[in-house]
Amino acid sequence: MMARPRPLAVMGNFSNPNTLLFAVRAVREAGYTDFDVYTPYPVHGLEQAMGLRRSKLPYISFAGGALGLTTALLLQWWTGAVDYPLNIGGKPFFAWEFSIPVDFELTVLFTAFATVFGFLALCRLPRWYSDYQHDAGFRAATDDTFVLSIHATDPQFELERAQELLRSLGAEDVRLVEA
Amino acid sequence: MQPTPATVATPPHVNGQELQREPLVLGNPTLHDVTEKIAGIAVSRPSWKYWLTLGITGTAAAWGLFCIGYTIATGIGVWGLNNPVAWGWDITNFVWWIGIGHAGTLISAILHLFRQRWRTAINRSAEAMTIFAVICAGLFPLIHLGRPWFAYWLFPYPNQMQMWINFRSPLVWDVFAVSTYLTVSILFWYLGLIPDLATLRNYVKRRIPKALYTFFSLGWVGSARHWQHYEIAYLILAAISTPLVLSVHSVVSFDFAVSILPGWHTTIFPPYFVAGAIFSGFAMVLTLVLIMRWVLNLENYITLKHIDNMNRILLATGMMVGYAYAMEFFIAMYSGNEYERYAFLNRAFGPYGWAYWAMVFCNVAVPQLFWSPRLRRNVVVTFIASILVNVGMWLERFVIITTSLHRDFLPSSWDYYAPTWVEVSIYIGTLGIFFTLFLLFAKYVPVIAIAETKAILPGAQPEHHVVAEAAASR
Amino acid sequence: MHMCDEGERSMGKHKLWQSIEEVHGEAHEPVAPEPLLEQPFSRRRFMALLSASMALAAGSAGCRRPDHKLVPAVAAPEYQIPGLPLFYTTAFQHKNAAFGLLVKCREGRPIKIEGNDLHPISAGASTAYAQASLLTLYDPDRIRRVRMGNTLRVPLETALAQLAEALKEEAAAGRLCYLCIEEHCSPSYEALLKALQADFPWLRVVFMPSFLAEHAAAVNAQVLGIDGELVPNLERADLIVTVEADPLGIDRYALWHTRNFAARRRVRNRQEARMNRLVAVEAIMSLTGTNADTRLRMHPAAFEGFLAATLRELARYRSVPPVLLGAAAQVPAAYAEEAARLAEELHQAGERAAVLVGAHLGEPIHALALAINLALGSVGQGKVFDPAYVLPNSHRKQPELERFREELRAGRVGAVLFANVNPEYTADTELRQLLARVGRKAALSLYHDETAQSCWIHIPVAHPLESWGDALAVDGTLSVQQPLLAPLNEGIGSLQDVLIQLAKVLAPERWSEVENYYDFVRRHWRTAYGVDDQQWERVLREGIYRIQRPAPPLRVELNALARAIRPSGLDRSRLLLLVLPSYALYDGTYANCGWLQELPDPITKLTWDNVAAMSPGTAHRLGLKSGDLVRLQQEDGAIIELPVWVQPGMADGVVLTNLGYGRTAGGEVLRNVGQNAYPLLRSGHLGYTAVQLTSLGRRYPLATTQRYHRLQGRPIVQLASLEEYTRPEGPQFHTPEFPGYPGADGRRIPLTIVPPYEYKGHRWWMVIDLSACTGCGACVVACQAENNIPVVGKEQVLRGREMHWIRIDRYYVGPVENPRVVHQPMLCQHCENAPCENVCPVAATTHSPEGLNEMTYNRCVGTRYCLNNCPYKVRRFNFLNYHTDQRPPLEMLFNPDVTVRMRGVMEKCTFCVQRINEAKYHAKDEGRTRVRDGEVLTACQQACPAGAILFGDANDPDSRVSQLRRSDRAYYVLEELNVRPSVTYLAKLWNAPVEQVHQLRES
Repeated sequence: MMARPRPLAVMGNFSNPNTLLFAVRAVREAGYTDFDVYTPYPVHGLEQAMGLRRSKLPYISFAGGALGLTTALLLQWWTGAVDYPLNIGGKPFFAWEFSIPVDFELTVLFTAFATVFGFLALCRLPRWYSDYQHDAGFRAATDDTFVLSIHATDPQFELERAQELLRSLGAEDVRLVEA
Repeated sequence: MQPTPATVATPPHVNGQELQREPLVLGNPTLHDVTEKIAGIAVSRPSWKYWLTLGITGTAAAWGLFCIGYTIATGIGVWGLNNPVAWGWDITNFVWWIGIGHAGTLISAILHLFRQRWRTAINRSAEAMTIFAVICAGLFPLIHLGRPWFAYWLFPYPNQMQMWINFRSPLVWDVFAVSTYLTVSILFWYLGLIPDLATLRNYVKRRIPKALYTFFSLGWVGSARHWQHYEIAYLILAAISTPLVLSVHSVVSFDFAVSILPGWHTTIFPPYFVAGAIFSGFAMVLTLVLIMRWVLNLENYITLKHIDNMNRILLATGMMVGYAYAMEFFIAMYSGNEYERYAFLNRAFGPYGWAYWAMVFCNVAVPQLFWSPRLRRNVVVTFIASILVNVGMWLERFVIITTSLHRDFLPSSWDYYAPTWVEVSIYIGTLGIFFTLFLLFAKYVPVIAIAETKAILPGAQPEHHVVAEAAASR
Repeated sequence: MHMCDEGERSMGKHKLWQSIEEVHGEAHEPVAPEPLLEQPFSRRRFMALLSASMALAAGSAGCRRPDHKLVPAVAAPEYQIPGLPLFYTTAFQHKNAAFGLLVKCREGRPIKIEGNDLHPISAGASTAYAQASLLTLYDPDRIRRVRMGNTLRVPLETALAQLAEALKEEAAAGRLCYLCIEEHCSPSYEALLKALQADFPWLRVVFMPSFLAEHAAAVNAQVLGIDGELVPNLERADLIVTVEADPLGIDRYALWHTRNFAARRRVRNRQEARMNRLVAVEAIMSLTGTNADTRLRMHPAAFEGFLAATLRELARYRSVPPVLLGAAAQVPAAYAEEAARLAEELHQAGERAAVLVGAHLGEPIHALALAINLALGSVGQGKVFDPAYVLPNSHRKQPELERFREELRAGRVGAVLFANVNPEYTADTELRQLLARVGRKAALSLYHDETAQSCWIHIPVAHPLESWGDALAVDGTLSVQQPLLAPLNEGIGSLQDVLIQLAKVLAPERWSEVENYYDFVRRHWRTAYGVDDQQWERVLREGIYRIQRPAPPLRVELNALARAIRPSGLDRSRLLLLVLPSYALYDGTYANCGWLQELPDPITKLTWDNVAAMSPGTAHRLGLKSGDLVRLQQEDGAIIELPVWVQPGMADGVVLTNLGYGRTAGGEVLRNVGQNAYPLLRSGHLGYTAVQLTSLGRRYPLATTQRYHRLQGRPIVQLASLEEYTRPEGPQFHTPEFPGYPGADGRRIPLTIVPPYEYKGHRWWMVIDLSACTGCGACVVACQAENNIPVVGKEQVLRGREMHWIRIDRYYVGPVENPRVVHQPMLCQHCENAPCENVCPVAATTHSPEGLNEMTYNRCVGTRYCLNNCPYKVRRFNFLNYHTDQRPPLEMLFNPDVTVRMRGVMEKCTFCVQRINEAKYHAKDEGRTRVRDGEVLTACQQACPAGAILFGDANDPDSRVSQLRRSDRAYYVLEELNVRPSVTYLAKLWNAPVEQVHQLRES
């Protein structure tokens, strides 16, 4: 016998960013915390409306940069002045002057890596499977639809109430997405 | 899924200046139209124009690779280089390609930081161009070596010789700068691609493409929580790429500025080279974008406004370069250093004078056309000019490298340099490689940033007063 | 300051010398039973090695023989320590000039040739030819087996038997057999030939020089009763006037002349500044002319007039025999003004002045010069022209040659043996046709050359470095020529050995007691000079033996001299062609030597070609540029087609070309190089002839190693006239103005953020004296030999890829019609702040704690950035694998102490680091912490006859380099770049009036 379908979320489509923003605020005011919005492009002011905290990504990037600079300085100093000192053109074995270009480049390189991988980590990407991917409306979020989704995992999730709320906020095609 | 109109077709009357300002995208497409248009390219069968160009460029690439093989098998002796002139077309091409590779990141990063929304039409292809140009550029330092099979010795790694590289050498700085630049450019490009790949994933039907787009889009669903991190990441990359772009060509210019040769040993080089790089980069972007516009019918997305803007930049950077030429000359004469003086007189009136004056014409005279608004928006003129500028910028590097080398300090070792067919073929080969890669890109990857374009469509962003009114009325 | 002090030169080397007997351990037995076979073990071992390698290469069974010889001598001899060099003395003969050599052998193979320190002619120095003879020794094109027509690999015995048979027949038929020999100066050879002629009446010996220049001998014979050339001793001359003479150039004793000349030009300092003075009068631009203090550009037709005028002017100061004055009066004067000035100068210098005349010039000129020299008193015992210093075998050879022609015409010649001569290449058409009629011709030579090809039998003879012999130098120094390894040509002996073997076949009864040529030489020395075994051994070790030659009493036939004085026969209106031996290949004997082919001509800097050189004026008049092909035709129709070379400093209306090119057979290297100019000699005589020039309207690529000839007003070469130099305030030589502070060595140190590096221990340094350097190019070839530098060929030189580590930059100063020339040896300056090092990404070129700029070949990846950043452009890049097509046995030539570089690698001068290390090991062995001054000689320094190069330790305050660094002539090339070079140049001084030099500097 097959398992009973488990409710995952209640979704509603929006086509106008203004109504969407309004709806998001309302959903938040209604006390929902575990909800999300899927949009084809970044919609300004959405994160404030959802009340998200600022991203921690900048700190990760900075750490990466600092690591890069240290690596560069240590590499040039140790190889040039400690491990195998050579008299080259009468110049010092190590000097900050000639180390600058490499210092800079490695700083940038490490920052870039930290940023990209930090971003992926914060977004829990890559994740090649999404619970909702069978929902056509949800997939349209990468095309031209704004999808507001209240997740079943939300503590005060009640199917009817959630659907009612979304309809009242002008959402089209309000539906229950099940596993 | 049924197309849903993106708000009202015309922008709301409330903010009037929206009306005056020329739209960035023509024909008032809906969000879905954008998807259809750009993602459509990936599924549509390419036209004969496409196959023709791909055939030509592919052949050129193959021939170039053969000549590279021949050089490596026989020795650098098959090139025209000689004792005083130990660098010729090889390094000229290297610097030229690197220069071209500058516009991409510049457009993406700097224009992004300056909130230049018109960049969205061209930044994707510009970034792609950057990567391919840097690949072509990177080829030359590799094959110009006397013993290319030891190229990896240029990287610091523990080895049985217990030797490390010489961090005093500008070539080592080059290795770091160019490889960093390539890596960061790829990351930047890929980051920008993720949402669009997701769009394609959901758009294409056929299995293999779908699988590939699925894999590379990393499971992007457009969640607002992701967009939040995404925008920060993009901003940071833009912020670090901007100085990186400037640093790369500065470092390349150090190859010359740090040497002692008259005509090379000048402090003006870093800014001068960067300006030149932006100049040639934008010229190449124009060339490509105009071709792309024609081949893929993107007139509504790459509008005359974009071309106009880029021509303004050409005009500006062209004049910077012109200023550099003049200043170089002035300093040489003013310095009272006999070697410097001779180097520059020889540059302008010596055996390579023809190259010098051709360069001045292409880089300084031609851009002056763009004082005229009519010419700025004339596609044909722009196309020819963009090509001339690239010729001019190639000549600039050739003139700098060759004239300083062929007559330096001791007249006894002066000589003349001319390339052999092998060098010429390899250069043509890299052009082939570049355009081949670009054509493949244009076919299988969104050539215009879909998400970003959607974000700048009229009314794509919420107007907060409207939202406020709605809230109030409730 | 004496730059090449014999004592120090040879330091630590004498004890290493070996003589053959010592090696044998049979020094006191009368004569080694079979010297050639009983060669020291190592050489036979080498022979085996060699033949093995040849067997691999040629796959010929004939090479197996030496292996058996290897067997009896397995016991390793104690004297040969692998890895340590042995030095042997021998003699080098350049035609009838000779000097002593010191040959460096490693594991039994000669790898480097130096001059013998003890020999008064060379005094340790050597010439490009001597250096190159080593390459000839290992030349793969040398023929190794007897050849009869098209049958190869004929056993020598058979060949000799048949030859002897033929000779007997001809003799029986009453016909003569001629043995044509080249000019030589070997007493034993002479004795051998005499003995042969004594035994075989039908045998005639005739000198067959490649060209004739006998006017000097003619005049001397008539006037002084000396049938031969007098070789001047320039050490005794304060004022040298050359009339198109080239004592520093193509003269056979150029080595000796250069030494003597330069010895008088290395000025120590302002206070004691004395120099000799060289005045060159010439129509061509000779190497001597480039070194002249005053150069008079003059049309050859004016030579007689000029000298006559000088003689007459001279009469105003000192007594000149009226008969001579009378004769001189017959000659219309030319350049009277200059003549007057010169006469005064000559008078003041008196017997320490000398007028030298080019061998190619006619009798009248030689006569006038002799008259002047006699008037000056510079002829006589202990004078510049010493009757004792007669060039051996420089007597007139034309009479014998004429007789030979007569006999040929008369058909009385049945057989001709060519002994190392090549008439098919050098002789005129008539002689060649006559020779063609001779049925029995045999060649005894190294190469299967033009003549050998025309012969019935060709017997390959051994190379001088493989054969016994002796040589008499002009100063009466005898040297023994020792073989250094068994002949590579299947062990066939030297020319003389073959002759003896032939004689044995012809007349066994009389020649049985003569073992071989070694035996003969040994006997000759015992009988002729009474040299016993002890002495003999000493001679072998030291390489010299002085004999007293009684100088003939000087008697002067004034009337004969007067008779010889005549006006010039040259027609000014015609274009005149002069053909001279070339600096690189001389008469073509060395044509198959790549080193010499690629040795840039000291004046034109051309390689791999001979040209028709003419003055800019003439070229302009004829509308010609360098590289235009022209046809030169003589009255009798002799034709040569040559590329034009516009040569500043030549007289208008004169064309100069060189011999030695256009060889057609005898090797791979000499093929298609230049054109053969011998057909333009008038019956073998050098000299001016009228020619017709027609432009062919075609161009021809000329491979020159220097394309720009002006200093561009750059302070690269510092000049001063002796006069202004001696003034107390003196000229300051290149002290560039830049912000800085005075360094320890008096050099200004520019402001810098980098503290200078401290050099403890040795600090290697070089000093080059531009006043001494004559630009002869011996250093270039010596360096090439020492450092395994490849020959790249004309095509690569055209591309500007020559590999020489040391080059001689030649700059023209002053008007293009008659410029002055400066030669500047340029090599890696081993800069303390080396620009090349900073830019190398892989640290392949770095600085040693002793101040050497070192190149790590196996680390080099070949970015060529160092080359770009080298302000002196002395780095050399292996654009291709120049060593791959190395044919055996050439690889035996390599110096085992120097890496052979592959393609894609940068290389350059190392200051002969291998020699420095060797010296350091020595010092260590002797428990010394430091190398003594003069213990290390770089290859270029050792070869330099002018002693212009000096090398040593700058950290040793008493070393000669240290002293010279402080010289008031010291300066540094491109000092303003603050690269701090380790090569000090000493400014060039001209013993000429101040204003002359000023004018030059201005222009």
